Amino acid sequence: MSAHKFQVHLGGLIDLLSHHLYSGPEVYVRELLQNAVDAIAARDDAFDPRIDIRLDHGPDGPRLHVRDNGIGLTEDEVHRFLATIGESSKRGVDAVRKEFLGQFGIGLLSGFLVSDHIELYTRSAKTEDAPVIHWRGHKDGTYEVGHDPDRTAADFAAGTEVILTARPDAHALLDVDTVVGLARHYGSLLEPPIVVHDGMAAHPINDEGAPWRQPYASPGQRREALLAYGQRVFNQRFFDAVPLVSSAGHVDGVAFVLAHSPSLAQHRADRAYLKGMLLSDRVDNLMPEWAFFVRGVLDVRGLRPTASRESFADDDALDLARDELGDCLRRYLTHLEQHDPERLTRLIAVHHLALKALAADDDESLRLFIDYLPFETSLGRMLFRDIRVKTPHIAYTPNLDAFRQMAAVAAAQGSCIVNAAYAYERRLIERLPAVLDGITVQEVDAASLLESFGELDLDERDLFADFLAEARHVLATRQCEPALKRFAPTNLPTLFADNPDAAFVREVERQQDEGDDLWSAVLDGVAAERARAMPKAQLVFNLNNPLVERLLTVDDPALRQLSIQTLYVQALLLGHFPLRPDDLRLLADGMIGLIEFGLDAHARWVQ
Amino acid sequence: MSEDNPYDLLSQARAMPEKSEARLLLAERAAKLFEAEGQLDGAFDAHDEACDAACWSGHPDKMILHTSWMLKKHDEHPDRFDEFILLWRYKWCVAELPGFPAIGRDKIEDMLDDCGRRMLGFDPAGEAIKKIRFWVARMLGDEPGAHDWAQQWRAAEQGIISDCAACEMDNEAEYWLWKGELERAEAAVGPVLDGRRACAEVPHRTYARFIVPLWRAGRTDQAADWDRTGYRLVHKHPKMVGSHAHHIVYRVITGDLDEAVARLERVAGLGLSYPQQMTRLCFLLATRAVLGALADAGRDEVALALPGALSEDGRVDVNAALAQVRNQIEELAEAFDARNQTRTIGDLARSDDPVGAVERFPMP
Ligand SMILES: Nc1ncnc2c1ncn2[C@@H]1O[C@H](COP(=O)(O)OP(=O)(O)O)[C@@H](O)[C@H]1O
Ligand SMILES: [Mg+2]
Repeated sequence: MSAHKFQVHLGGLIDLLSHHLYSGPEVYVRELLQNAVDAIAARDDAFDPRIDIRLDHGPDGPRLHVRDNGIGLTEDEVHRFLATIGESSKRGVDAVRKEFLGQFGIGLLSGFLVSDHIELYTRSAKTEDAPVIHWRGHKDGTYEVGHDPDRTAADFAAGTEVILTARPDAHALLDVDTVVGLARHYGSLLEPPIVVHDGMAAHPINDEGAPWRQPYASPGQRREALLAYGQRVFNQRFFDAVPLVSSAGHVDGVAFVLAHSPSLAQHRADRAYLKGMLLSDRVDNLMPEWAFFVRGVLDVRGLRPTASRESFADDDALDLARDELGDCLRRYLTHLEQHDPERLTRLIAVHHLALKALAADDDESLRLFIDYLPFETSLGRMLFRDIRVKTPHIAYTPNLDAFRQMAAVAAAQGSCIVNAAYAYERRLIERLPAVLDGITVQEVDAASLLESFGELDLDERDLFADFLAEARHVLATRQCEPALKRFAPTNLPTLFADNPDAAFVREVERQQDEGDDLWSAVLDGVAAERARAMPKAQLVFNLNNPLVERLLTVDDPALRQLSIQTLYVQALLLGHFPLRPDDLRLLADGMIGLIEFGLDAHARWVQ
Repeated sequence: MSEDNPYDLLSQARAMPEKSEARLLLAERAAKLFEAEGQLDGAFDAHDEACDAACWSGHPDKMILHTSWMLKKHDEHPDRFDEFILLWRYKWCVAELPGFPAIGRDKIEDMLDDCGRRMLGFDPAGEAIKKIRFWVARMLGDEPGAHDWAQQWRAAEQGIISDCAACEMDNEAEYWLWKGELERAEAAVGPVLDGRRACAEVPHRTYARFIVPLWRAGRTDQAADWDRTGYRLVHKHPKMVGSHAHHIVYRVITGDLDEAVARLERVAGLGLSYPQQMTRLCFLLATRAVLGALADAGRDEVALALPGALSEDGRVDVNAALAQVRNQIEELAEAFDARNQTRTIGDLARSDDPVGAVERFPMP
C-alpha cells in the first residue's frame, strides 16, 4: 500500500460553497469587507484606517478593487494563508483580543462566485521595507505569486488590494448601485471609513454611523429619527422605537414596536450586526421570547454566532444579554405606564398577547400591567381593571368548550367567567392571588356552574321523578345524565354541560361507530383510564323555561320521550358537538314522531 | 372572525404558539365543525393540526385519536391525502401504545404489523419499524426481544421515513446508554452537542439522558455542565416529562434538594397526570425520589404545590404524599406487569433505588 493525498476539485468545491455555505453570490462584498476590517484590526501601529472600493473597466470586463491599509501579507504568509483553503491567520490568542470577524479561512473563496480570478496586491505593514507581492488565484485551483515590479513600496502603502473581474453572468453584481447597496447593507455600522468610487463620484458607505448612537436635540427628534431608520430597514411603519443596551454580550441597538400584532407562530427575526458587520436579518434567539411585539436592530460585540448565522450560541452570556435587553423593554413599558398611559393603552390594544406572555412569567410586570390587559369573559371583552371592580373573586375556565357552554348562562346570571383557554391566560390568572392583595381566583367548570342553579324542592322532585327516569333511559348509552334545575336565561330549554373525560370517551366511541376492529380495541385501551371514572356530561332541563314546564305536565309518555330526544340532539347542535350516527337517528325519529303527533292533533281538531 | 367558522378557528389555531393547549383546542373545535359540515379536506387539515398540537402539548392520547381518524379517512379515499406525513404520525403513535397498559400485547403486535406494512414503500428494509419494535419490546419488559430487534434494526438500511438526523443520533446514543456504553453513546451525538444538528427536541432530551450516567462514571463536572445546559433547554417544555424526570433525579443524587423540589413543582401538574402511563410512571419515580430524599433529610412538611390530593394549600405532608405516590406506582406497576406478562417494569418500579429506576426506565 502507498500513501496518497486527497485531491480536491476546486471548481466543484466552489459550486458547493456557493449553493450551500453562502446564501447567494452577493455575499462576496461581505467577505471582502470583512477581510479588510480584520486586516485593519490586526495592525497595532498608529494610522488612519480606511477602506476604498473602486469600480472600473479592465481588459476582461468590469472590475472591483477593494483597498485597505491594514496589516497586509508577507510573501510567506501569502503562501500559507492564500494557497490553502481553510487556512486562516485569525486563530489563536491574538485573534480573541483583536476580535476578528473571519476565522474559517474560506471567505476569500466567495470571490469566485462572481469572478474567475482573484487578484491581490499586498504589502506587509510588519516591516518597513516589505515588497509588494502580487498573487493571482484561479477558479481551477492554480495560483501564481510574484513580486510586482510596477508597484513599488513608494506608491503602494502597506495594506492589500483585492481585485475581482466580473464574469459575464455577474456583471450586474459589480454594478455601482449594487455594490453601494451591498456595501451599505453589510457595512453601514463598520468603523473604518468606507467609500465606493465610481469614476469621479464618491459614495460614502458608513459616514452616518449607528443612528441610535447619535446625539439628538430632543427626545422627540430622536424618536423621529429612529422610526425613520426602522422604516428604512424593515420597510414598515412602527409604533415606537426603544433604545436597547446590554453590558452582557456588549449589545446595543433599537427595538421597534410593531404597529400590528404578529402571529405567535411566527419566528423571531431580528437584524443583528456582529461587530458592525451585518450577520443576519433573521436572528431568532437574542431577544426574550415574550418580546414578539418588537423587531430589533442590534449590534453585538461579545456573543458567539452559530454556524447558521441565525442564532447566537446558547450560553450564560446570551442568557444575561437577553435578560438585560428584556429589562430595557420592561423599563420602556413602565415609563409609559407612569408618564404616557394613553400610549400604553394604545400599545396594549395591539400587543396584549405579548404583554400577557411577559406578565405570565414576571410578577413585577403582572402587577404593573394587569389592569390594562383585556380578557374575554361571559360578559364580553373586558379590561382586567373592570373585571376586578365587578368582583375580586375571579372565576375562570381553561377549557374553551366549557367556556362556550357556560358563557350564555353565566351572562344571564350576571356572573363574569373569564375565558382562560388561550395561550397565557391560565398562568396569568393562576398567579394573580400571589401577586395582588385581595384577589382570589377559582377554576369553574360547567358542573360547578350547575351547582349555583336553583334546585328542585322535595315535592317537585317527587313530581318529576318519572320524567327524569325517562330521560335517563333515552340518554342511557350516551355518557350523559339528565337533571332538572331552574336557571336563567329562561329562553334556554336545556344546557349540555360537558366533561372533558366524557368528551374524550364519546369521541372514541364516535370513531368506533365507524368500524375497524383493530383501532377499536386500541382506542378502548387508550381511553380505558378515563372511562374507568365513568365520567358523565349533563343535560340540564331548565324548569324556568316555558316549554320545559309544559313538557313536564304532558302525560303521554311517547310524546315526552320524543321531546326529550329531540331536545338532547338540539342541545348538542347548539354546542357544536359532533353527532354520532345514532344521534342523527334519534333526531330523525324525534322529528318525524313529533310531526305525526302534530298531524294527529290537527286531525282531531278538524273533526 | 367567528367562532363558528371552522376556517377562522383553524387559522386561529395556526397562529397560536406551537406547544400551547389553545392550539389543540382550537384545532379540535375546527375539526368538529368541518366534520359537521361534511367538509372532508378541511376536517383532515384540522385533525392534522390537532394531532400535531396534541403531540407538542403533552396529549399523546389525543394524538392517537386524531391519527386513527386520519388513517381511516385515508383508507376510504386512498389518493386524497399526503400519506407520508400521515405515516410519520402513525409511527409516533405506535411507539406510544405500550405506554397504555390497557392495550393488550396482541393489539400492539397487530398495530406494529399494520404500520410496518404501510411504511414498506418508504422503508423497504423496515428500519424504522424495527427500531420501534426495539423500543416496544423494552416497554413490554421483553429484554431478549429487545436485543433481537436491536440487532435487526441496526442491520437494516435506512429508508426515507426514518427520523430527522438529530433524532437518529439521539436514538443512537440512547441505544448505547441502554447497552451501558457511555463513550460510544457520547461519540454518537457529537454533531448534536456542538449544534450542527438540532430539532425541536434534540439536543434537549439528549443532555437529559446523559447526566446521571456521567455522574455515575465519576465525570461530575461534565454532568453538572450538561445538567445546566440541558435544563435550560427543557425547562420551558413541560411536555418532555421523561427528560424532566432525569433532571429532577440528578439533583436528588447530587444532594441539591432545593433545586430538585423547584424542578418537580414546575412540571408536576402534567407529569403526575400524564395520559401515557409509562411516562407517568417514570415521573412518579422521580417524584418518589424527591419525597424520599426529603423524608430522609427529616423534613415532614415542605411548601410545594403538587396536583390533586398530594398537597394542600401549597404544602406537602412528605410522608403522606410518599405513601400516596408509592401506591400509584404500585398500581401502575401491577397493570404493566399484568399486560406484559413479565415483571421487568414492575421490578424496576418497585426497586429501592428510584434514581436508578429512572435512569434505566425505557424512555426512548
Ligand atoms: N485584505 C486582507 N488583508 C490581509 N490579509 C488578508 C486579506 N484578505 C485575506 N487575507 C488573508 O487570507 C486569509 C484567508 O482569508 P479568508 O478566506 O477570508 O478567511 P478568514 O477571513 O476566515 O481567515 C486570511 O486569514 C488572511 O490571512
Ligand atoms: Mg474572511
